Amino acid sequence: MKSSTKRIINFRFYRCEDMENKLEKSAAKGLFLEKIGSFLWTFRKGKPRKLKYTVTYFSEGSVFNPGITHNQQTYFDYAKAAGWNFVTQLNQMQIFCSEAENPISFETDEKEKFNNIKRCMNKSFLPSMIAVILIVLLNIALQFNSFKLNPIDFLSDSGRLFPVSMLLAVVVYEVYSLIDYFAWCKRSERAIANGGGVADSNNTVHKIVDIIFMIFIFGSSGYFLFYAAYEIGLFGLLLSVAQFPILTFVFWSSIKYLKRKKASAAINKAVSVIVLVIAGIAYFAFIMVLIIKFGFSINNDSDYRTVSWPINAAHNREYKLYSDNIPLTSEDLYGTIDYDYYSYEADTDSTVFISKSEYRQDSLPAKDSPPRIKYEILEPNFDFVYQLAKEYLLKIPEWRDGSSFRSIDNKIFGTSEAFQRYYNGPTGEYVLFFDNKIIVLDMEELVTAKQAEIIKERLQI
Amino acid sequence: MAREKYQTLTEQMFYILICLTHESCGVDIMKKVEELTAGRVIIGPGTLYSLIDNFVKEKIIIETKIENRKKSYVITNVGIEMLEKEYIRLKKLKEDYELLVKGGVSNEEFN
Repeated sequence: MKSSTKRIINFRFYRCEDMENKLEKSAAKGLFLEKIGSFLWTFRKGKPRKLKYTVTYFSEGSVFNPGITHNQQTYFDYAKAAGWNFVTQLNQMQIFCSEAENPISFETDEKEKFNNIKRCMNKSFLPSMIAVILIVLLNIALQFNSFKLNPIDFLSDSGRLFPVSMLLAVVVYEVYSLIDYFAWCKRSERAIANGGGVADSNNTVHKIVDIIFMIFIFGSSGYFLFYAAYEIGLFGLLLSVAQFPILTFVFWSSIKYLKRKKASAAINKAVSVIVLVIAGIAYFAFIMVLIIKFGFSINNDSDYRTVSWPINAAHNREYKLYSDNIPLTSEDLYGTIDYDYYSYEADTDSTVFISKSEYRQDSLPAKDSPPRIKYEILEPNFDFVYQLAKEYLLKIPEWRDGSSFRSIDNKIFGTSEAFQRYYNGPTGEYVLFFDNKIIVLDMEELVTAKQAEIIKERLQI
Repeated sequence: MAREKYQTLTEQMFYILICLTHESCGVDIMKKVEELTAGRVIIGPGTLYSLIDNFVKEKIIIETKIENRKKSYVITNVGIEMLEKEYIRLKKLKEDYELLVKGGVSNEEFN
């Protein structure tokens, strides 16, 4: 039988009692806390015993300390004199246990106890919470920027929506934790002023919130991993997922190594953080190199053949010719075309907000190559998405001088609104608005009345 | 600052300070207080540490020596002054109690 077991324990720093109860119950079952690691708590197996645990905070405690500090030793001596034996620590959190039936309370002054917890929280819990919130908000701001640049691409891409929804969930959860902490402070202050003790925490509400959050995070990441496996391939997925444990390992190894070398807490912290950042960048660069070298990204369940095609007298280039099914082809519009090098591509992305299907038929670059066509069918699921898409599609960037959209007769395509791009005269670019979909046509030539009929029929307008 | 924070002393603070009118270390204080009050006032190790830490920061007590990792402390003049004030306050409480309750002064007379 293994003599120890590792567990994941979910806890909040300022809720000592929850943890004490948990540890006492474990001891009664024969599991004694031995060590707290980065994720896992190690329990030693033994005969069930009745032990009392106390979880307190020591403001000088830190994972970066090379050993027990002098003041901490004094603290331990006081504890020992009162019958409390030191078990283990994690950062400022200190855990003691006692075999006595009714040991002396570790804290006998509720106000001091509260001030001490607050002091420790101000030193570690609050700054780290705020840092996480800021980093996540920064990330969300960057995502928002890319959303503004192209709302259609953004809203139709699950690969971008899922991370954002997870980030949002993290912000909500962290902000909730902060509010919860401050509410706890207020309650405790009031209770102590009235001669009571540090406030209890409302267990049921916390448990429910934690469970909802966990389900959401695990559910989303599960879905996201599934999606990513399809999008970037299993190998790519493995590399990106492995990043987390690898970087954690590097960080902890650095801390442990420097501790052994008796580096001071400040040096250990600075060096370990720098090592972590460098390792993060190196890992990212490593993935990038792999992508550039092997190009293992890009999903492809579609068939293609590769042709080598002259782009000038001296050089050939490889082209991939796809043969996806597309609803409307150049052949439909221009009659039979005798050409072997057409590439037919279809790409559909769909999310709760919008479904976007992009189709294109490309010929290889040459003077006399047959006509290419490109079109996009957008089906927004919400009115605001429809409006966003409309605004985006009709926006003319400043650099496109002399370009404009002009309204065309709705009868041509049976639209509710329709526009054609003008650039030194009319072009083959149309933006067609229907009640619940938008079609963007990008033709090399103007569409004739007869072709408009074919388009309507093929695209089931 | 020290004055404001320690306008009135808690029992635990009072006992720690009177113990420190003679140089002693933390563990000794814990035991002495328990003996002195026959277990009525007990100072937990966490509370003892934070109170001593605060008293040192506020210069109410000073560290005198470290022997075998054991730190000893003694009260300062600031601390003595605080104790004195607290003593006067407590004496006043006692006198007022005696005057009104034990001394038989009726409420009407007092008003």
